[in-house]
Amino acid sequence: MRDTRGLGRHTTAGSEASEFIVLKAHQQAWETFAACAVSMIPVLKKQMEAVTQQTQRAATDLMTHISALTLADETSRSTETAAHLSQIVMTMQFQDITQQKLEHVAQALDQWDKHLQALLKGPQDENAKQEIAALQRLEQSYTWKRSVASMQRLWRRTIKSQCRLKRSRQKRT
Amino acid sequence: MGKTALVVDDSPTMRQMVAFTLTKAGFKVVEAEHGKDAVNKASAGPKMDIVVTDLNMPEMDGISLIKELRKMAAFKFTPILMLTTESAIEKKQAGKEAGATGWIVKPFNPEVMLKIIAKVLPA
Repeated sequence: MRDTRGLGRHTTAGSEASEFIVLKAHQQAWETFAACAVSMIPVLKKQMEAVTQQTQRAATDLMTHISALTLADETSRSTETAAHLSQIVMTMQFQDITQQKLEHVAQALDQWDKHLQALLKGPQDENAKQEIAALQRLEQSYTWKRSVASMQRLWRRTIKSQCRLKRSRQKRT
Repeated sequence: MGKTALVVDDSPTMRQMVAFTLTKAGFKVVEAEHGKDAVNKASAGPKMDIVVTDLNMPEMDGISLIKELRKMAAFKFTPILMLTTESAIEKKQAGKEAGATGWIVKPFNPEVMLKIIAKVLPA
């Protein structure tokens, strides 16, 4: 007769190992996301600051040209008016520039939203698995930052406590 | 008789600015907010003498619009100008390949725009 006493222990160790791999992948996906967010936030902030500056500049320029239009005397009116109108038309296009900058910010936020939703579903969800794989590919293009280290520690603790919890449950049964 | 221009841009401000410049120069302006809208207006509306189009638009972008217009007999030789940023070199190239006549850099100076239009419009 075959001895099957050790089989249960092997199966438990195997499932624990595969669970660890899944959790590790999930942890890496979170780390990649965090690294991506940390590097992107200053870029997005700059975009938004540029929008504010552009708007302020446009408002000031418009006021200057409108004031000049109202103050121009009859003799110089036609040529000066044309020049000021041209400048006003050029300045008014700030809206197109600021719209593009804000669209970039919105695109980045949408991407983060998608990543976060997938990551929050957990490593067993099919969409999350795909998202995790995509984030792992992203990993290569980002360098690890110190701020990620705290998240790594947190995840290691979570994995260890989950493994401990599982072992104690198995002992009880 | 005044010439008719089709102005295509998803940004209402840009559309208004181009329309304002062209109307002041004596054009009759038909506005469209994206490529599909422009194709509809081009097939149903009056004969257009010139098209000024943005490139990044929802529904149908500028490059696809240029391709669609060039398929239409009425637009085979109509000048089509792209409104684009200085840095969009690849897009300018793609537009040229699609059949655009030239481009106007954004933000545009109205006088420069009218000079470019005068250059491409048949006498």
